[in-house]
Amino acid sequence: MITENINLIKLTASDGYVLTNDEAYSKEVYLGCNDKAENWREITEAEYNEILKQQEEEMERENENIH
Amino acid sequence: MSIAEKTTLISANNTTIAENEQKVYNAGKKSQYDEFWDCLQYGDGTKSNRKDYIGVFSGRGWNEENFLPKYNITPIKADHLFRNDFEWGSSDYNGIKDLPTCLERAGVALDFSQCTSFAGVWCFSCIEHIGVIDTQKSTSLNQTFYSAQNLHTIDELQLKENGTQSFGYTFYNCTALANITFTGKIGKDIAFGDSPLTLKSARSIINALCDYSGTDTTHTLTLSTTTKALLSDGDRATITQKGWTLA
Repeated sequence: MITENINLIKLTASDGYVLTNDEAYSKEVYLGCNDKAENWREITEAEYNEILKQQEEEMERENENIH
Repeated sequence: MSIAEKTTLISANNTTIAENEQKVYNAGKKSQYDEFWDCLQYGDGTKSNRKDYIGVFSGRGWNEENFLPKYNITPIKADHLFRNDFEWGSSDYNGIKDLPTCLERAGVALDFSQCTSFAGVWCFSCIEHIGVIDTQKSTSLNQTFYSAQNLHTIDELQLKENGTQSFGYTFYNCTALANITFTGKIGKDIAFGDSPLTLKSARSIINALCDYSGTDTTHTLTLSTTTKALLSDGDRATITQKGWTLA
């Protein structure tokens, strides 16, 4: 029988906010053993949606250039 | 007037020609097939000499009826190979959906083992099922399956063992992707935030993550809310103890 202590550090965004480290975005994050809470910050959902929109527009521009 | 009727008027061998009409037709069709595919695949009668397959099967003209390659496909470059710009919501689009079945019907293989570039291979396509993809010669899989919204299964994605490949928007908007098996190592940020992966697929990914414990390296694995809900605490612990943040 194996007994383990599993420590998970979970960050959860406040209502109306999303967590980000400027590369990934999520409502909740389980920190890796080499990561720190200070590396993550909250942005509003509106800001997040704007970032998504900008990323998609950039992708569309890139893909149009391919044609 | 059929070919047989026409040839009756002009040939002493009309009976023989009429009996062979179908054979003549089939021979003509085969000749055109050979000519087309020899040209497209740089065929020499025994094999394809084409290595640059950039965009070769992209566009709406290709479907499961006419995708009948004559030779094995062995690309060195495969950017946008099956890109389709599929019009979502259009119910009448009939593109290449089940690639393994198409290849089997054509009697050929699609061998990516020498391929060095996979940018947008199935970008915006209506593909549903892909077989084995050997990406070990490539440094990145950027946008490889970008917005392939019908894609539900990738039988096996073979990565390098050194975890150096990058995954920029590789699975972005793959909203149907449930089944994927990895071999090799995932060493950089990777995101499946839009994909309803099964637990089996998630564990294949977890197993493939490079182990950065004992270093100060950190990377992020992004999974959809649906898939995260399937994970056990043990799965989450494995991810985080390997130095990966689960987002």
